[in-house]
Amino acid sequence: MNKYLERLFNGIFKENPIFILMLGLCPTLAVTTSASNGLGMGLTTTAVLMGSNILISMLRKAIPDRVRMPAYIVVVASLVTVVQFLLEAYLPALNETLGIYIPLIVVNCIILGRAESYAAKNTIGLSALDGIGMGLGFTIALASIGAVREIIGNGSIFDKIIMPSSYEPAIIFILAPGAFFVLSILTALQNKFKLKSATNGVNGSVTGCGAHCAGCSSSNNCSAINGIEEAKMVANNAEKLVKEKEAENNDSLKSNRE
Amino acid sequence: MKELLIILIGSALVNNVVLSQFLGLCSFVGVSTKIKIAAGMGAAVIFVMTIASAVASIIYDLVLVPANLTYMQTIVFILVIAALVQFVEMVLKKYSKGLYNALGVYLPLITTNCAVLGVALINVKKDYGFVTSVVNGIGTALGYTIAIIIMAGIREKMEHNDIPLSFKGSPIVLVTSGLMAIAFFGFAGLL
Amino acid sequence: MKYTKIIKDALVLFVITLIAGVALGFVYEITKEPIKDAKAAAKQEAYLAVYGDAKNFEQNAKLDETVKQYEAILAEGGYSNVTIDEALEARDAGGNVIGMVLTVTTKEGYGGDITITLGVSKDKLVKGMEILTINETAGLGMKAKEDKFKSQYKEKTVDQFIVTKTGSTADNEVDALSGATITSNAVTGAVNAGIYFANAYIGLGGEQ
Repeated sequence: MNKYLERLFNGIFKENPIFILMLGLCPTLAVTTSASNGLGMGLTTTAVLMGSNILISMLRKAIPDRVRMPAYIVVVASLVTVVQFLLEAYLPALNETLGIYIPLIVVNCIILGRAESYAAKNTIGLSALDGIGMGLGFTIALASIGAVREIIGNGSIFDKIIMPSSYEPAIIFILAPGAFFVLSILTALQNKFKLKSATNGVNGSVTGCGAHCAGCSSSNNCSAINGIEEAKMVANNAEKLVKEKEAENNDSLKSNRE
Repeated sequence: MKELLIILIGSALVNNVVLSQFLGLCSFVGVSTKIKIAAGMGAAVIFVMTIASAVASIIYDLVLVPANLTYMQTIVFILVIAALVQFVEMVLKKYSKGLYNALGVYLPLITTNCAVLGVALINVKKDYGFVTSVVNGIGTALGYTIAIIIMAGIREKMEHNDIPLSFKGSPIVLVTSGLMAIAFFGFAGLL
Repeated sequence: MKYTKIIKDALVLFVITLIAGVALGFVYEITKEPIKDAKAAAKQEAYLAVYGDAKNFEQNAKLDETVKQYEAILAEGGYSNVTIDEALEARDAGGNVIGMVLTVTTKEGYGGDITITLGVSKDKLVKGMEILTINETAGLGMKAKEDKFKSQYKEKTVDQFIVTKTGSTADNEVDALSGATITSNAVTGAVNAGIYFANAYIGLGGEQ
């Protein structure tokens, strides 16, 4: 039983997808204008994450390795659509507020990341709990970011005004820039507390949302959960290419002069 | 014509994908280190997003709507985009070495770039026709390119600045994005 | 050997996609009715909110016919970018027609279309306004959903509301949402178009 509990809490505390792994940035910023929006998005993602972990764990022996990424995408996209129907039917208001960010759960790297790094290798029960744990961790993070933004930006929490009427809300915090500021401060705090153990402290464990999950299908030894890291690798490769080209140009210039 | 122009400006500047809709953030943070690289990424995004908007719009209008399968849009779009990127990569590799060298490295990053899927979904949601969808795709991609190049420019300068240790890396990039987002509010007056 | 492997892989992928597609279709069929019901319920609720005195809302052939010609009618009043989606008669408990409810969509919102419902009584009194769909900036345009803004249209007999930024002093003046003039103008435009349509219908001899 212990290892099941361990799985559940792993996602909430030890490997919280947003605070520790920095996964799933896009919805994190876009829908956290209020605590209840954050909570709704978090729970929606949790449902998808649990479902996809269960299904992929079930299918893990049937899915050939070479086509696993497209297969995962199909499974996740269908689940997201199902969840969208259910929301539309039973929680239309939530569906309305989250709008386009619900179908975009498909490209949220938490989902494919967990499928690739956990569900594909573990039993159904453990995978389900992993999905719930990770999802709840995501939910808590979203709801608290939403709460911070709502309190500062609107003087309320869960749509209840809590600040005294003399408080003039800093609307900027529920607008786009506020999202960047809040996340930036959270990341900085995380860096601060990790400084002691981290070797250089600079962007310690900062990875990102789904940049490169499906791209992995072409190469075998890549972990799907490295959004920003992957992007940085690409940037480095590109830099190398640019430099090579410049060097070539310089060479040809030199030889021309000679 | 006027309407198309409004859509173009609207999606490129006023409702910038990165700064106001938060799509394509990871590559925005990850690739915006040097102006040259950012420009390469921007070009790749413009290329793919334009084609993807066109293809998604055609498939939606000619296949999904007649077959009454519009509810399959998410699954169809993501598969189409993934396949499209692979296909573009193959074609470029074979027929245009120059273009492949310039854009090839960035293509894998774009497959699950939420901005590409996002544009396809927005086009459908807003009932855009074929031409409008393509214009919206180009506008959005232009907005992405503008944002990432400006960001790369700022980051190149920022290298010489004394930034608090815990803000180095992503946090300072996020603060900068926030300030850019404020600046982009100014474009709202354009419409 | 290699080809059989590729074919096998492709086949598995195909089967997964097929099953997913069929399952989706199945869920779609199941949820189709509840989705329709939810939308109808939301509409009914909004209608009651904008016309509390009415007991039920019914279709009327002449009204439907007039709705079909909304473009020409609104053009006369100088309203463009606005559509009248639906208009229903509002009847009281005794079955008497006391006014109408309208669903109006404007394309002039900041974040896209805004759809509102509007209740207008026979004697041109605006009974209320509710917002059905809106996709404006949170914290700015989204405040249009708050009672403070909506109630400005309530229980007023005017031909046209005007948005003001300096504090409303007259019945026909509406305080703009701070930082969201575009949204305020869009909603007010939709309300005005609705009023104009309702008045035009009465003018056409619509039995109200």
